[in-house]
Amino acid sequence: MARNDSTTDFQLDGPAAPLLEVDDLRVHFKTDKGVVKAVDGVSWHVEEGETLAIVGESGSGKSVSAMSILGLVPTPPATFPSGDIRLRGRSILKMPEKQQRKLRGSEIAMIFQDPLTALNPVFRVGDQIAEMIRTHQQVTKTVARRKVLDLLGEVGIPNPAVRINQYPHEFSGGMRQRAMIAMALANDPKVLLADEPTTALDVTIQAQIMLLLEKLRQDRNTAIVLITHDLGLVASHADRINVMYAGRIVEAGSCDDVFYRPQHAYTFGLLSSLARMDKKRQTRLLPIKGVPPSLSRVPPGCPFHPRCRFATEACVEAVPTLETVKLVDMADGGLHRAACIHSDQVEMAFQERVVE
Amino acid sequence: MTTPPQSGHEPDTQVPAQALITQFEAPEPLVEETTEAPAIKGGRRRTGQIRDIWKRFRRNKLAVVGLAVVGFLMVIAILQPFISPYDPMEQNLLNTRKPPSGNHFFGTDILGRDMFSGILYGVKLAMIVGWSVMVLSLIVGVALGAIAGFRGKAVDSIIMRVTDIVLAFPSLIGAILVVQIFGNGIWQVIIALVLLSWPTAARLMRGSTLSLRESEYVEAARSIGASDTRIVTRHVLPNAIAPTLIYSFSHIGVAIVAMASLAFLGIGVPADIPEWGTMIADAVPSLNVEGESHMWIFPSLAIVVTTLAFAFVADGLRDSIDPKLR
Amino acid sequence: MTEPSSASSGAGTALGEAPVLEVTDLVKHFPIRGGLMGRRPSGFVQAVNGISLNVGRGQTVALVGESGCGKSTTARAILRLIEPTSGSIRLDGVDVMSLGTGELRRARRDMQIVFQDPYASLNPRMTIRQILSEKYQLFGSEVTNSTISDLLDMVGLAEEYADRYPHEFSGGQRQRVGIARAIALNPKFVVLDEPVSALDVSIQAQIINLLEDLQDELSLTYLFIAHDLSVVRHIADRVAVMYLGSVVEIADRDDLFDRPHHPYTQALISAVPIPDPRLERQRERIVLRGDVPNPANPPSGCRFRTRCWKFEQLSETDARRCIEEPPPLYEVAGNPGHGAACHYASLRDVVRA
Repeated sequence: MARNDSTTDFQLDGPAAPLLEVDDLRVHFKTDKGVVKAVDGVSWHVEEGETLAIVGESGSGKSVSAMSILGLVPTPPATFPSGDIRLRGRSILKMPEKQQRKLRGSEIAMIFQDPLTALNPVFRVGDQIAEMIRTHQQVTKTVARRKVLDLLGEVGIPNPAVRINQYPHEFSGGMRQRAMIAMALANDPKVLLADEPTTALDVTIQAQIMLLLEKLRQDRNTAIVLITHDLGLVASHADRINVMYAGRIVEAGSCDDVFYRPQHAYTFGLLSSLARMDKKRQTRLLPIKGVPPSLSRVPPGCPFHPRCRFATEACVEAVPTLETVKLVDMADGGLHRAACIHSDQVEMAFQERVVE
Repeated sequence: MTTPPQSGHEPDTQVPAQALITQFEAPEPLVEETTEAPAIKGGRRRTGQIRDIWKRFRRNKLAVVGLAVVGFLMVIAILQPFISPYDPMEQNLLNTRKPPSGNHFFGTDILGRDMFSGILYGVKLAMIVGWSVMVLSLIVGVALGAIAGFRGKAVDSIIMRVTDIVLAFPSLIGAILVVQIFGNGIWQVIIALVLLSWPTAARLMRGSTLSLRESEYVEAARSIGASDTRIVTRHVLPNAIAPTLIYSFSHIGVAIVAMASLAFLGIGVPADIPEWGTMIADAVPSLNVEGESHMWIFPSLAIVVTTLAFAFVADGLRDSIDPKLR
Repeated sequence: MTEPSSASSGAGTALGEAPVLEVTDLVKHFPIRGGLMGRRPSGFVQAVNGISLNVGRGQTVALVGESGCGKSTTARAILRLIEPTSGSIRLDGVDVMSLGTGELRRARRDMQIVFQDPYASLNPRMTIRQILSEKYQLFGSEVTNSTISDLLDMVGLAEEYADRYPHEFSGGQRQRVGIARAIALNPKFVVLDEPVSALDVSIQAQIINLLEDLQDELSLTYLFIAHDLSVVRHIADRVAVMYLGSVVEIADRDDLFDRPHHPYTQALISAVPIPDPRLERQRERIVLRGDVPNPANPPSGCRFRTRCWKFEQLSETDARRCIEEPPPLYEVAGNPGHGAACHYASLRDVVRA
């Protein structure tokens, strides 16, 4: 392994602590209209070679915890009232700025929906990736360039020798996404945060990119955090799922648990409102009424109660906590948790709908 | 080698805070999605947008001060005949170049006219010229700009080449030329200034019309069978006019200064009419004379205060009418 | 097992009745202007390249494809929001192509469109009432308070909000306003241009249900433009798949999804992930190589061949046919309502396997 040892001065390969852990994180923004609680007590973790999906609609705060990891949330206006982010047990938030910087882009990298946020239009793609390598590793330009060629080839960009000298605008959308992935992989990160990586792309290109991410995960044992609104993508790629609503995780569990035994009314709502390509006899879609709340005015109690078909008085009184539903007997296992006091009803209604 | 700046993974400043926050605030609908929407009393109606503009405008303290000054100047301009202590044109050759006193607040000028009354008259003149230039160049600029942008092709080329020609002219020389052709007089000054300022308004208007022409709601209007005239007047104009309006407003101060400059050179406003530029020109021989500095200080102050006030308001308008324009 | 699919490319539910919309050989080429003066076109983007399409009364025909395939251009050319280069369009017997400016404006009463972006398609300086009233005014129809409130009621919005501006509404609500504008005065034919793709998942279902209800109530005829195949399977009666300006496969909904014959359709369907983890684990994806070619310079013969997974497997002599001969829409599976533009079309199940 040619990886430079100086990137981190602590062991990443120790056992005990999870690879990447977000613990009770709160990210609030102070605005004219009050405090926007973009992330309000969110915990999750991810291990090597695993894909964790964070699912939510726009404005659910699903990207903010990932962005906090990379220090992309500007403070002010953001504040972090509580919580920690740990890489193999070491707190990232408490590290000195310089050390944080070293981690970002080397141990943890991120790819975005819009590759143009990561690629600078006035520099050649190859130079940008090489620069990325040389920021974190002490190698010569020639070595860096050779590595860039390898990377471009690895992410499936044809003619790397030509492409390396081109500018981002000379790349198609799918190729830009590949170039951004190549840049993210430049320092062989342990964790790849993918924020809606294929939302801007056509479905055949999406298939290409997801195949690529899947291959990288297998070849490099990278942990992938897939942030998306697309439940189809989640079903085909995630090992575990966190469903977010109004800045909180409302349901967490293995892929099969969440899709086949949803315990939170919101998850139920999402699954029942989806049109499905594999269903011949089309049942009427079951929409969720209303719209997601503004995060500066989250309803009291369960944030979902105004839109919920199962809601009762009790839902308004207290914020339900994320409770373990059951130690699941399914083969893929994992802890299934949901923050819903009517999970029994939800599951019943879901099973009925499936049978129907 | 080129050194790309922090690329990719450390774009610390690449996520604008505001964008980040608005994504959580954006969907703030007043209305429930379903039919059984709770009745919220709708009292906002069409005042809503104006109120929003005012709310944003108020945040800019300088703009508010500027607006107060502009308002004050407008009141003076209207009341000038009634509050003027003397006839601003009345000469008194026995009482020239007197410093400010209880009788003459701003003193008297080389012909013994009351400078305070003269400055007040100058306010009226500045308001008439400033606003006329604004309104007229706005009308001409908006009409031609909208036609050029919406019609395109040959009409567009012709109008734009004309603006090129006008803009290529040094503006002060152009103004002098126009006034020389039409002769002295306030309306001649106004026409000269309008002739020189409409092209910028037209270009701004053309730009926003061009982009709006392709917008979906213009296409939507076409899809329900609206005619071109209707599309331009109802759908394009109201949405495209903001940048041009702001430009024209900020041009008021420029027009006032231009008039004063012309007058200083003895062109445009007839010499017997008290005008700030003329007053300063009259004061030139007194520049270094003790006790006569009031002759240039007061008209200069008047120009500075007026143009600054309009500039502050224009600035505030730019930020409040359409925050995106910033 | 196969429901009898009625004859001809436009066939639908109403057997024997003439289709509401008949499009024949529609072409739209955009000139590419180059050079200093930019006056003489240096080439053409073949955005729509000879599309024929029929839509029966009360039917929903979906036009699907990836970005740049020409589906939106087709829809706008059908409505003459952009002027087609050639072809024939008949709406309920009226030859749309021959209409003069004034006649076309009047004819718009019968052909409407709902736009993709609810944020861009409503004039921000007009209230909802003004937006909706405009259409009545244009067609000389009287607008009363109850006209607007009935219309709003039909799309699930309360009347109290009629005097508010678009920016006070959420995306889903604005889309309802856009739909209300389109269905006012009972048009014969409505183009839905990706009406839900800008909306959140939970809101999409609301709008889809609304569109279905309105179709039942008002017996509307839809041309549904989409890239989301899941929504298409839900809402469409008939589906046409477009690639680089041409229809490559057209069939009734279930025929297309369960018995796709064109290799592009197969790849497209197989690329759509289904929200069912167990099913996903057993599905095999056909991953296409590369990107869509530049429509200004499309490949010879079959336009899809540069990315075609089947083309790669063909012998050299067989492949030559793809390079030299543009495939017509062949009838497949002995079903006159099912056509695929491929010389080597064959069935492949891509939804479940």
